[in-house]
Amino acid sequence: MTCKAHVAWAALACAASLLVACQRKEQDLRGGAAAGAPLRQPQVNTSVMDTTGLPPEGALARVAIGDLAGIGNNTLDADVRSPYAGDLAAIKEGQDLFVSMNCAACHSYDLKGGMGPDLTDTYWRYGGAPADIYKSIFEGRPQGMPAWGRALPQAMIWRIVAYIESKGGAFPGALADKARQGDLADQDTTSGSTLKGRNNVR
Amino acid sequence: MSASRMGGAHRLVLACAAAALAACNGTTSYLDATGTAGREEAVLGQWLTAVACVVVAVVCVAILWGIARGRGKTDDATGRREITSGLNWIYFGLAITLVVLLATFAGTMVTLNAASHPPRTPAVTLDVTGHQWWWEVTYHDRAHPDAGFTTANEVHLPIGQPVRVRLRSADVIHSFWLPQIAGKTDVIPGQVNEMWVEARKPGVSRGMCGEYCGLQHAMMALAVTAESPEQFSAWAAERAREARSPTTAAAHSGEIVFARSCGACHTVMGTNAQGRVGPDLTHFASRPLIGGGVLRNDPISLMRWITGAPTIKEGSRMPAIPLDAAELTAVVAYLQTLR
Amino acid sequence: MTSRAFTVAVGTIAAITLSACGTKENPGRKASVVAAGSASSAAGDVALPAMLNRDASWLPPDAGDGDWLMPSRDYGGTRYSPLAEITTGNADRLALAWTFDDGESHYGHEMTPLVANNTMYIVSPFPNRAYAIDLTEPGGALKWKYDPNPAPIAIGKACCDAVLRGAALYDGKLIYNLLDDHTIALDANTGKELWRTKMANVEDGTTMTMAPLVVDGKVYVGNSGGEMGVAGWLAALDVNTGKELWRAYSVGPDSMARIGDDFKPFYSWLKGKDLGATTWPANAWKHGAGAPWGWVTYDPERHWIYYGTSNTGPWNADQRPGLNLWTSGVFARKADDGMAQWAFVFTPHNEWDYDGVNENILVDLPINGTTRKVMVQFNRNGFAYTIDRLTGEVLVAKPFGHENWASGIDMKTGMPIVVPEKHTVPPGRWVRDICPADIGVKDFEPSAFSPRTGLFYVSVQNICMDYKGNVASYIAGTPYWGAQMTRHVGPGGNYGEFIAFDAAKGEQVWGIPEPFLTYSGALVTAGDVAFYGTVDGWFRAVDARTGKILWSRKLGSGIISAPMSYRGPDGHQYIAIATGVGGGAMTTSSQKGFPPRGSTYYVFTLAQNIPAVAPSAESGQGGGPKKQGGKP
Repeated sequence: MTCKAHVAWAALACAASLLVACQRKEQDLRGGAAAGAPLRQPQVNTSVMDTTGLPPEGALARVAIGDLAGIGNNTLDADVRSPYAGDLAAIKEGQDLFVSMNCAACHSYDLKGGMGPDLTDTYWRYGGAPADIYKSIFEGRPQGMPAWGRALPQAMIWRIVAYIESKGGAFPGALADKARQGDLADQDTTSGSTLKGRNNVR
Repeated sequence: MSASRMGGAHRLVLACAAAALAACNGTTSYLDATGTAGREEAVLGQWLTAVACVVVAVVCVAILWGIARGRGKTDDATGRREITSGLNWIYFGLAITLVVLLATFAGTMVTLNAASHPPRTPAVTLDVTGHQWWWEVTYHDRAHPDAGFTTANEVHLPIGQPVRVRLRSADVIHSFWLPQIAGKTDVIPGQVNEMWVEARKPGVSRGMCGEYCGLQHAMMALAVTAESPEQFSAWAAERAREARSPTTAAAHSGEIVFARSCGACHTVMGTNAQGRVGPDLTHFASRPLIGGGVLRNDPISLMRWITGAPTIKEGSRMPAIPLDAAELTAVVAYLQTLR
Repeated sequence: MTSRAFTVAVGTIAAITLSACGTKENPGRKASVVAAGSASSAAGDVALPAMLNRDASWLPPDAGDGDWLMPSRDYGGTRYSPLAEITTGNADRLALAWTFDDGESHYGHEMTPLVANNTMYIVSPFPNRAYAIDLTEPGGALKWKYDPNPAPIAIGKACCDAVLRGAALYDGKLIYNLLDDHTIALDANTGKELWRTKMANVEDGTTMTMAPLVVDGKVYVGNSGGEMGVAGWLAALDVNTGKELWRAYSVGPDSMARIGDDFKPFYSWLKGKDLGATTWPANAWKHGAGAPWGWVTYDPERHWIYYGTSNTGPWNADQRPGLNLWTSGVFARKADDGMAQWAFVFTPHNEWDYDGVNENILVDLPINGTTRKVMVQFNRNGFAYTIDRLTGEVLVAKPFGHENWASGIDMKTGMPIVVPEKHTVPPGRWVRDICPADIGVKDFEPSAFSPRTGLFYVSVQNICMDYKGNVASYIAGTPYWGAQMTRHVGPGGNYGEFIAFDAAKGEQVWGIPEPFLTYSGALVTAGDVAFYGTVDGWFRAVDARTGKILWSRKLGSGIISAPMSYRGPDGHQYIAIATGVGGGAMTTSSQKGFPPRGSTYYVFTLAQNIPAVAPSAESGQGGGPKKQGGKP
């Protein structure tokens, strides 16, 4: 290339970069006439953030804590599966929530219990299937477990459930009717997790 | 030939000038900085730009002149070309370069020194914590702890008084940048970085995060207001006050909905909502933007934000809150009373 | 003094006290009978005639020297028994007389049994049942029991086990707190509930675990919840009706803290208006705790009460810059209207959960040649404070166990000199090896004072922690905490030690290291025998002057309560202790050999006093010593 051409290209490049700079959006912080529409976002898969895939509101009200009189089997709906089980990003968010919602303060940072019971063993007073754990968090329980159903959206509670599941104590939903305290203590009980769900030895 | 060459050089100079001017539109140009440190850095920047432009111009001129002058005369007799020694030019050029560089170096050192230490002991301290993707700002008064308060995404500065800023991160590396006031300082998890700022001229400008920190790095806007010390004290006193009880029925029921459904993450001083996961909302209605800059703070945007934050600000920790229409109206009415 | 002279002195004292036994009960007999021969003998002892001559105003009404009507026996908090049948010479012959089990082995037993009118009174941990045991019947027979049915939600709001630290007897009433924030009074004869007053909402995280102080027609009770973001308060109720007379908060403006013109703290940093609010970020005091969950003592000379306030909330001090008054401190208040006279804060801007709630024992001690009216507190933070109880001036402040978080107390201001590496702020990082751990060099377990030796008998903890703070949100009903910890034993490898301490000089006189935590209260008697228990269940009698272990017995569970001594209907001296490990001692539950929970109360006496033959079923009376009836 000739020197002339070099200079011409350089000038063109300069001008182009200037023109690009001039396209910057004005942000008016005084709440004036600037547009209120959100900036264009890149298209990203948002399925993990929305609420599809969660059990419908109220479905879990039909899940019983105790055994059903006269029938002897708890008819926990097998469709009520834990929506975020095994989802590592959701489990991480559940862990953050476990600390920020003060769950760790009662159940301890390693979930081994303190003011509240151990969440890593296979002994669950109110049931250890994910749906039962969800209900316990949502509804609260008589000896001081607060009810979170109005304080946290469904999706956040299910993330906490996923985190608790990942610690090894929970039961798969299909075994819920057998999952009374200690019934399955000698079996691997975790659903979808690579952790063994035995009674944890302290 | 000379015309187009001159045209090219002319264009370059124009381009340089235009570049400087183009950066001067909008409120986030560091060249527009009015703060003490920012001003000094802007001046340094301008000096360096000017020097660079001059150097480029001189070099261009020299090259062009060298091209135009062509080679040395050829001696017809011997066929050898006359070599004009350019050594003098080299000495001359070196000398000027050295002087300019030394002057620039000295100027840089002076500026860095001035920018690193506040001129007086700061009276006000800010603790700023960078979150993904919002800024938690806490004002401290050592002598009167109860005058301290926490707010979010906004900074007020008293003119002419240096303010100490302590920077912490709640998660990843951010960078605290008020371009109109001072330079950037990184916000690094696991340590506390300190800087100071001092505003010189009243006005509103925008601060931002200066280090890529995730999907919404661009949506961490700070509203920066520089005002007189009296106005600043009045603002601080106002911020330290707890939220007033709502007076209308709608706002009152909104307060109940808020404490129940939002209080686990947000704080409104004077109520049962004392969560610290999300921004403090005690005086939320006086902030111009929601969500670090994604939306303006108006009722419709607020409703959209509450019910659909994850789709508006992808990756945000604010979830979609399931409220029915009545609850939503009430909460928004309540939030608007939080001046 | 020579050991021979010592033996003679002890022998004389023993002779005098033994000669007093076996006679008819004389109501209100003063301990001054033994004053004459009690001048100090062995090294480290101090002659305290003033203490020995304390009159009946230091005891609840109608309390004889064989009775125990309140957890510390007397209003000064000494836990000293004037009974001297059990001595250093015969304590090795202590034997089990009878036991009682309250059946509540889920939770720790921190209560000291009470005895009056030949009846023993026991209140259990949750569900806080009350029992009256007729001591005139062989083996003790249950006279009545009462079930107050507190709300189970309280169990999940109690930070440190669903415990109850005791009750008080006053004017024929048994008065105590329920975990779910009610104070109740029962008729001591029949067990019928006389009144029940709701003091707070348990859903907010407030519980009540402390033993009330009852004096001069008023019941003094305080809340628990230093980890739950409560605002701490102490209230006075009318003993006859249960009606609340006033409530003094530990935080907030002067109007809430009942601070007025007569408030005269000694140190300048405690002087000022509304310090309970201005030493906090705006409104942070509302969840700043300062709950008085420990012991209240009373000075009948000035009619002032003394009590300490809990740690500051949240533990993460980063969220509350400022001195955070009046948490982790002590108040002296007028007993009638609760107006504060002075206050002192042991650990301002507390970063380590060092509560100020431990017992403030009111004694007269010679310090630098003059006898001073002082209060002594063995604080969680590891320093033993001897404070002028009239002015709040710190006279002595020396460590009484292993601590490394402070290099000392600045005697000009009373403030600790914090070691910079032991600050737990900023949060988000592990701070290693802070001694003591959060449960302190001494937790609530109450120490005892002997006016005969002038020494304090203290269960000391040798435990350290690694601590990491994090930001905490206040969500009502959940903990407002912000800290993770792991704990480990301190230097030497012994979690516990039982010591005798001279609070006038700030020096330990002797100590008995224990492999397990010593988390029990202490008892010391006029026989110069001190009693304590360990978390693995050893109950020991030791020589109060030398620390020699005289007798030990392994009981069914760990001991975290304080022993007491009473005179039975047969005229003999008995020692009673509750077992049932729990409470803060569970922080060491992974120690090898840590016992299971329990719920049994043990009563010991000298072997010679236990009937050789079991009583027959028809007569209902056994052989053995003649029973002494009548009121104490």
